[in-house]
Amino acid sequence: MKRIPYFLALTTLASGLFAAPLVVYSERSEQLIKPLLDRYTEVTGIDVQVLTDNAAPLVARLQAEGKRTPADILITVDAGNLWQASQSGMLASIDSDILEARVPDYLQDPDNQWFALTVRARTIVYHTDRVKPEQLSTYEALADPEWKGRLCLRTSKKVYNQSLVGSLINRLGEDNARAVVDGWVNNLATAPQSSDTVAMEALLAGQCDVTLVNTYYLGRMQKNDPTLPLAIYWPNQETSGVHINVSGAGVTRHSKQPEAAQAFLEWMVSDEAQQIYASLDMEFPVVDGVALDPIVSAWGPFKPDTRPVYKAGEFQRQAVMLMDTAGYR
Amino acid sequence: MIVSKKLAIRMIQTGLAIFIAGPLLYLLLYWWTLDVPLWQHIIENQFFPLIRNSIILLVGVGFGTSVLGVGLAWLTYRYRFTGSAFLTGALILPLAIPAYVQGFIYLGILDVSGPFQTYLRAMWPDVGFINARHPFGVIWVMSWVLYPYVYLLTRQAFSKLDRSQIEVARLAGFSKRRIFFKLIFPMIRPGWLAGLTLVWMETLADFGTVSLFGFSTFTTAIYKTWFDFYSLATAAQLSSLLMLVAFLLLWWEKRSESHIRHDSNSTPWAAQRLTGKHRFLVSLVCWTALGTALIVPVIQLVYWSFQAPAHTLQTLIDPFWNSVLLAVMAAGVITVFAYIQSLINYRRTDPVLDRLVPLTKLGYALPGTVVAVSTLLWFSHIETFLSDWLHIEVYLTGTVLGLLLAYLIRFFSLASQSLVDSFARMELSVNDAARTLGAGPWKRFRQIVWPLTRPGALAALLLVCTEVIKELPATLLLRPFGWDTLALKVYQWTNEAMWVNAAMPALLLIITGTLPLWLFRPREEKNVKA
Repeated sequence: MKRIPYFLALTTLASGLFAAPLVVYSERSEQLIKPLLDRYTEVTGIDVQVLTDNAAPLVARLQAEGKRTPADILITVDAGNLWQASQSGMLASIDSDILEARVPDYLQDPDNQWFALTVRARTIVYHTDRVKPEQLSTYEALADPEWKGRLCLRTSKKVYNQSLVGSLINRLGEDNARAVVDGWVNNLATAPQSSDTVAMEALLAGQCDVTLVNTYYLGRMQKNDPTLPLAIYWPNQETSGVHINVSGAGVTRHSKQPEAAQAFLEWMVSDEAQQIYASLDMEFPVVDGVALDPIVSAWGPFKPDTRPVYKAGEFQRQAVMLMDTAGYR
Repeated sequence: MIVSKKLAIRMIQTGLAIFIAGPLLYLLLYWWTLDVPLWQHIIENQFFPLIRNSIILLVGVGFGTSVLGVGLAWLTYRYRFTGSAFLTGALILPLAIPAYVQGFIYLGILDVSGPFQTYLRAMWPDVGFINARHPFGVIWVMSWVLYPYVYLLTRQAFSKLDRSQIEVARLAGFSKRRIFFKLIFPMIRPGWLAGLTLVWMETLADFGTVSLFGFSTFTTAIYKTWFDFYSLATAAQLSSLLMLVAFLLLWWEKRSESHIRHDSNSTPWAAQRLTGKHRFLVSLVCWTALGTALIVPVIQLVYWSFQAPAHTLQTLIDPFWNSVLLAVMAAGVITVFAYIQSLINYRRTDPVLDRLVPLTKLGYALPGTVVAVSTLLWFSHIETFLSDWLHIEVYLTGTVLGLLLAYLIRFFSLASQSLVDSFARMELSVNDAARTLGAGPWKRFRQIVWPLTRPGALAALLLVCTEVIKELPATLLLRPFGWDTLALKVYQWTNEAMWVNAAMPALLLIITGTLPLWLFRPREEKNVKA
């Protein structure tokens, strides 16, 4: 496995001498991807240009541009949008032994139109003064009456919560999932927050005791202040595992240089790229054996939910409707 | 000859209107298909509460900006007090602050984890948690960034007040209150309404601020339908409903506008120099307003900027120049087009063309991303058409030209609103007299039309500059590679809820945006009575 990057570097370097720049449409913020693209240029000599926006406008732009698109690669920060991009026919299937070998099956599109590049775990964060980890168990249990007035949640308009509720529907069926969401809404201490960070700040201020966040948001806060009285709890370890989402990428259908685009994705799952990519935002690599950021490894290992992540896309619409009718804003 | 000239003018006018309104009318095509289950869900669960919320917001922000805008315009026009010369100009500067930036600043200060509530709880633990993310909070924040439109346009109207009528009323023994509401207010009404229309269009289009406060409006539903339900078609359908509202709003405003009568022989009203208690009170009100709208937010941003990594400033040099360059180019292009349209329009009352005018203004009232995407689709059709039929390869998407055209679609209304007043003040009789005396069209333009309309053109130029510097959604989607702007740098961090990192680009953006505003600021009138 270690040899892959070098081999890649050689082959791509040769083509890089004449190649046009690779163009990436990215939902991932520029500061969280640029260092990695710069490194790719360093290694291969291939220039990479990036355009950032939300996934929906980027997919709309791909559709509008059609064959004229300059884009070779689409990167999004959740599986739902990747699923949507593949549904819209804007991605091409990739036949790559490297990607197949390095990215676990549940983290890729069944039709190989996209592959996860990092894993993002959505988990429980609690205030260490007011909650003991023994009191916590599962996402579902946060609907119990003992959390009345103690729960904070980010808005249902964020795709991470939509995927989470989608996974509940997938796992428990719609009626049970609805009961859970109803319970959450009942337990809310205040109206849903606009971001995971704001929700954790409400925990710190004492407005609530538990919330659900993507781990890297806590990582960023702990980086600034390691003494924060907030801790991670990995839920559903006896059952389904921690809900995960992904950031991932695919090659666009109308890319002028699909081989170069594929080579780029293959480099993205190399050990070096995985380490840079995951540590840029304190996410989890998709490849085993890559060193974690010290803050991330301090959270300890967890069992992830290994149901295929593309299901998030399939259940998204149902999940949003369910949250709307449950009054989860 | 006359017929062909008229035809040529009609064609120019119609072409411009179609180009500008094209992408928006394009949204109507989405009505071909209907996602029935989704519509059912929207109507059952969201429609009416969202409309109610949107109305609350429009009424609240309309009231807030009117009180602030008309009130401050009146005080600075009527009285002279400590700092009044500076305040007269400075009170328009909050326009340089993007509403969502004002939103995250005020939430940063006032939310449960902010310094204000933390202090309150430390002093009085019984206070508990005050909900800052309240509808009132959104109204508060938006009123403080949008009131300058009302201030600016009513203040222009005040400065044209005719003293003689007011003095007659005073001699007839009318009370001050009665004079204000019965005589003065009707005279400033067109200015107030023009400002209010701009305020309402921006309020309808806002997504960033309401999202921070978790306040769902019709516009957030458009985003939700597109981003979460993956239905661009339904989002376009909802947008076209919003467009209808904006169209009615503009039509209503245009009707009131036609009542403007300008009397160039009016005698200006002398301001009054305040002393003692009154001077203190009026100064306090105006300085507090500036403090709330501008000084407090800027101090908070400066404070956050010091916490951000020191190298941030270096990364902002290129975006700064990009912002400036785009703003200057866009302002030039848009002003020229808006000027041509006003020039063609001002002396003709052509019923067909008149109806086209509101169409060209709709871009300002729709959510930015929707305008950006429909512009993108529009460009791609133009590109395909040119390539397939005329074999000309043109790239608009992802070029500076394309971006400038997108700004034209979005901000045309702002520029033409700024020109309305100048052209309305031009008297046709002067132009006609000059023509009778044998002056050619170019001479008439240079010596009569241009001197009278120059202030309006300058206003359009500078206002568009500030708006382009603030613009985000179109820049985000349509910019050429490497053309990052300051607004984009702010978004890059606010998107991740990292306010501290967003502070320095936001501060630089605000400073850059205040420069054109300061050049264009209203000046204090000279005549003062003791």
